Amino acid sequence: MNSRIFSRLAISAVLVVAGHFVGGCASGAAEESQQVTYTATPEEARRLASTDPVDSGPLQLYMNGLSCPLCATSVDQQIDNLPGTSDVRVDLKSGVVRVWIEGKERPSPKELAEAADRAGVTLVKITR
Amino acid sequence: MHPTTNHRVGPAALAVLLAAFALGASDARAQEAINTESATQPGVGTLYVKPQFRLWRYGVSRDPASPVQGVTRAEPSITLQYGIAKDWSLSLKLPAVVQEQTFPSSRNLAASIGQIEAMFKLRVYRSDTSALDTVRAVVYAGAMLPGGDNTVAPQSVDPFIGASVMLIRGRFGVTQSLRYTVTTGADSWKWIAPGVRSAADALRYDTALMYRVWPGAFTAENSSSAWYASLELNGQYETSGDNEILLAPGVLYEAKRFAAECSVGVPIARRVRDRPATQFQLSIGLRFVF
Repeated sequence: MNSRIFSRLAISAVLVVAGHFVGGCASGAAEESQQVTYTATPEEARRLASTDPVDSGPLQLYMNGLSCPLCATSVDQQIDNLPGTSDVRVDLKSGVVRVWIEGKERPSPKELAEAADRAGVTLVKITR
Repeated sequence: MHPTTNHRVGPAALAVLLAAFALGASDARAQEAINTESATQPGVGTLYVKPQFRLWRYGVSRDPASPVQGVTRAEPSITLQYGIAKDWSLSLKLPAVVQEQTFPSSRNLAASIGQIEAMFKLRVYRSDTSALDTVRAVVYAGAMLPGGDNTVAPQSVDPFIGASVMLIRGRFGVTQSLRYTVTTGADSWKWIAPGVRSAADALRYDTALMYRVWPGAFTAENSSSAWYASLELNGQYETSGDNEILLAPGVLYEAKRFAAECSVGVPIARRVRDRPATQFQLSIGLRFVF
């Protein structure tokens, strides 16, 4: 009898927490997710599809879906594998990946977006 | 009738055990739950190595045909998961099994390779809704393959299919997974408790809640590691009508190159007649990224 009551309570607790989560009532989660949501203007989206190499120097890559430290490593690896990239730094707080571009062979915005895609995240826009 | 102690440790089992210790132990990432199949994938060309140690304690079967009073089963394993294309990954789980069966007047200890699990996973949906938030869904299929000694592991090829959906929203993550395994062998539980007879198919239904305990918010200083608390409901329904649900709280530490996990599962709902009842389950694992 006790175990039946316990099991019902446990399942109810899990469902309540899940409902709370799905409903977006968790204030901490909502606050954090509302802080940074990147969108691209049509012009930024057009530039992201370019196959021309990016200029040398620092770049900031704005990404959505960077959920955890291991995701950051995955992005780091994919970007770092591209020619002409170095000093890749992933900031989980802002969802921004900073990378230094240098050399004869440099990636295009499209290649950077594809690298992010291979890592399982979405590159939204690129700025200097 | 039962030998007091029967050691069966084949060379293959030793090789797996040594490999497990050499590499550390088993698999996880991205608020990936401990016992629930997640909707995450390694990046293309990325290898995840997941050493894991699992321990089950099964109680006495109600089946009078089974002379077993209790079974303790340990399963060290290594899971290798590799991103073969953008939305595809392949994984291979190589387990060893060490099992002790308790009879009224004796014990039986055996060890061998367990059933090897080979699985393809395909991501069918991904929506990254903010810098941290994402929704992902995968379908997967594979088979449990014959391992080593037939005294502790099935010798049949048991195919399975499944699907998993994961939502990450700020500090919270929830994963729901369903997996159906077709039992092609004559008996799926006799390896654990001789005399217990069930060739039923199995539907696993797992729900996992993850909460990032620390850091509350990632900062420039605190974005290289995170602690998560997890709460899972791990259920298994069998076509014989047996059903069992474990409640498994756990903890996960995730850094940039590895993660460590631990959970303990206890039964909270159970109706079993044709299989031994789980008393508890312990999972300890590591995950490495290469």
